[in-house]
Amino acid sequence: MNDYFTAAIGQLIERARVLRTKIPRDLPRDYDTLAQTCQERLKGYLERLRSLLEDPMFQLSAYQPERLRMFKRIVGDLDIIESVGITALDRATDADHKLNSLLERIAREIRYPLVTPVVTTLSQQYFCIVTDLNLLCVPLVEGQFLLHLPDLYHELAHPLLTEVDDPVVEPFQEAHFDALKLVLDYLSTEMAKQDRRRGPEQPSFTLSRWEVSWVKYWMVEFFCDLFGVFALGPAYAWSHLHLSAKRGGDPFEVQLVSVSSHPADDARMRAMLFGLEAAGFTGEAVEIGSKWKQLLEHNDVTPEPEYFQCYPDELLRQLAADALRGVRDIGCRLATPTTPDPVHSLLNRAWSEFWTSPDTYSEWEKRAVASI
Amino acid sequence: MSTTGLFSGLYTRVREYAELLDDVIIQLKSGEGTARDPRRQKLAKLLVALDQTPVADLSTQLLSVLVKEQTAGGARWSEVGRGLMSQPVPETVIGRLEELARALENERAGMLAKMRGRGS
Repeated sequence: MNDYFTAAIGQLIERARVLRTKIPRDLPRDYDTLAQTCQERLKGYLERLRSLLEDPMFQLSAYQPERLRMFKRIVGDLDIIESVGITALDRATDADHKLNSLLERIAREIRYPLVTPVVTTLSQQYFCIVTDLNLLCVPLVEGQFLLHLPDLYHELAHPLLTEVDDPVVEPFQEAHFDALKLVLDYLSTEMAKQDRRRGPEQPSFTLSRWEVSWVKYWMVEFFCDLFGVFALGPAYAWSHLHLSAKRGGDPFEVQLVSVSSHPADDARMRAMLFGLEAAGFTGEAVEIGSKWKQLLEHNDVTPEPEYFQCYPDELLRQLAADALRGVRDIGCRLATPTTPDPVHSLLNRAWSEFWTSPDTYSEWEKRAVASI
Repeated sequence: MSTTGLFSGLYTRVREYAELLDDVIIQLKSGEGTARDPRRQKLAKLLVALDQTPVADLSTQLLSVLVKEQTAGGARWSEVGRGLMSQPVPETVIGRLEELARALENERAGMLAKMRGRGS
């Protein structure tokens, strides 16, 4: 395989060098952090590729498994840099610049404690953030509408959970871990009950799958949702209703044999409503809860008994309390019914307009977006 | 709704674990370094913590779940961790670390495929 590595690594070195030339030098300052990250990463990959190619140790057969794994990791990292990071820089448009400016305003309003991510409108899968590059991706024309923009707040929360060795965000991460311990204790109790019953093995297996889902994915999603609720208020929960109505599947979905990446939409909404109550939006929580119930009725599905075992109310209520403590302890501005911040007010006002004047909402929204 | 954000954070962690493992394996195979090496100590500490209950922190909790998913159950990783700190390091320890490195590579590759929308 030495010949393979010689040619393949040589070609990858050339690819990384070409990518460095694709980083534009004339973008607004908002993009400096992303451009710098891409440059530094590419330099690091080039150094490691040269080591894999030239270090005599990597010519020896004993080290080929490590050499192959390292090579694959660099290929993966380069894929991300090329397909997301540098593409975002290379194709940055006026729409991106506007969204970057909007996100900076949001970050200032909520006293976001980390470097504000760069925004690109190149997302092919709704809102998402590539935390490694601190790059937030939104659909192409999302900046021309308001109702889904609350999801920016959710995405802003992901780096708060992944940033390492930053004491400023650690209280949020500790709250996340406390909530996770609570869930794991609960699942452990459920497993013990199951063992005492000496019934079939399936329920215990299902509980073990839920454990994996909670640890790897669900708690992160709940905490990002709750960050959205506490930083923005009711508009965040409305946008969840909107997204579920437009794109959601079974709102009570609960996997019995496989690991799933996202918790059930209804469980997410229940956690948000607990969060809204805890933040002082009791009336709004009732109103959103009522509309959510109507949406569930239209879906015409009923939850399986396992659904309530997977997401008990008491657990979700406690998650909301833990998340509130975490957001408060990192010094972010908590939304209240009287928060005056302009972007906060606009996104909440959009939902008021949506419900009070559905016929004229689109016209109102166009004017509102133009005024941002 | 998007999975990229969710996988992206996890991907970074998995890649870091994988890099740590390969660095230590290379060090052990080449006979370089000692038990005092910071990378080796970091890995040993992580592995020992895997068998402790309750789990001390989120990073260990996450690795514990990943390892349980990808490797045979009942593996005593704390023994491997303690073996890493002994001199000389038993040959079996390198074998177990290579097993773990392969498992994490599978996890990393699967996650990257999901981030890039290539299914499973």
